[in-house]
Amino acid sequence: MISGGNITVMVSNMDASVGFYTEVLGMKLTNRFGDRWAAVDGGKGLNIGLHPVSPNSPANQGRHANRTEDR
Amino acid sequence: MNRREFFKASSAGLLGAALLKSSADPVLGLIFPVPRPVPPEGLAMYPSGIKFITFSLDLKTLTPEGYDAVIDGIGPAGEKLASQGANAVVLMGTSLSFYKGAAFNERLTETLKKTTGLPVTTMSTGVVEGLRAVGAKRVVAATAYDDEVNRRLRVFLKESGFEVLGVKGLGIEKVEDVNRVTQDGLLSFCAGVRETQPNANAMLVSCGGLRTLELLAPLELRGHVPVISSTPHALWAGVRLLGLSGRAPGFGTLLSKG
Repeated sequence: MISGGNITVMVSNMDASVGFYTEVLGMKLTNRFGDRWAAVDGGKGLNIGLHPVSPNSPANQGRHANRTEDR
Repeated sequence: MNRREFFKASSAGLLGAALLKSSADPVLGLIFPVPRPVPPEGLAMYPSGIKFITFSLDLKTLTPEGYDAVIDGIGPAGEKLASQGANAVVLMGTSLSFYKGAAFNERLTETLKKTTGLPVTTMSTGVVEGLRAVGAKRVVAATAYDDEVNRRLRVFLKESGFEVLGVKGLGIEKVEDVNRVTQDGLLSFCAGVRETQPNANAMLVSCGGLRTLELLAPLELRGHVPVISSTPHALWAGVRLLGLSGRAPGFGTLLSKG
């Protein structure tokens, strides 16, 4: 059970990802700046940041990178 | 000063200047791209011992065209602050000072020095000095800007001697849209940008409109690298022009040691 913290998820399709987290999982969209970044409230203080995969982020190219740290 | 002289001086704005000049505290003059009062960051970092006075330009957009429209107002703004008793002046706009490159930032600074007769720095110089002070070599930057301004930031940082691993912005053009960015949101955004470049040894958060002071320490904790950001480190650089250390404990690596 995750409680609090910040998770970053690299996504290949921002619209589809936002739709998944908000419509399928029922989380609240808290921030959206076009296709550059979005954040959803995962509940109990958990923030999930959605970042698009890009050539400028080689460390995460083609895969999802998750990281959680306590607040 | 009799009653008539008092009202005459007040109406001309000279009374405030006289009071400031008589103060024992050094006075830091801040030129803001957009109208705003003395920044709360300044009062939080340096609650006593320094007086801040401000003059604002009227920047409408975070674009090269927007910067061009206000650039000629910087000199007169500096003159105004000098006449009000400033002992040093800071141009509080990162993109406003880096958008034409490092040489332009230098020329802007030199021109303002000659105009005011005072020590001068800019927000761009402040963040570069901050990055150098923490030993930055490979930098990742999170910004409020669109792609064109991010491209120019990348050029400026390279000209300043840094390897730029990544620059990611929120794509904001209208100045008022910066207010949409919440503190929690900005922390999340910056943490994610840092994670995209694990080889960076320092992070820059660029845009004076973003409230970053309270995020410096949490971001450093999460990203395990020193974080430099626009308003706090421009103030740090400006305060150092006054001959003070700039130390502001509790706000990240550099400010904690001064």
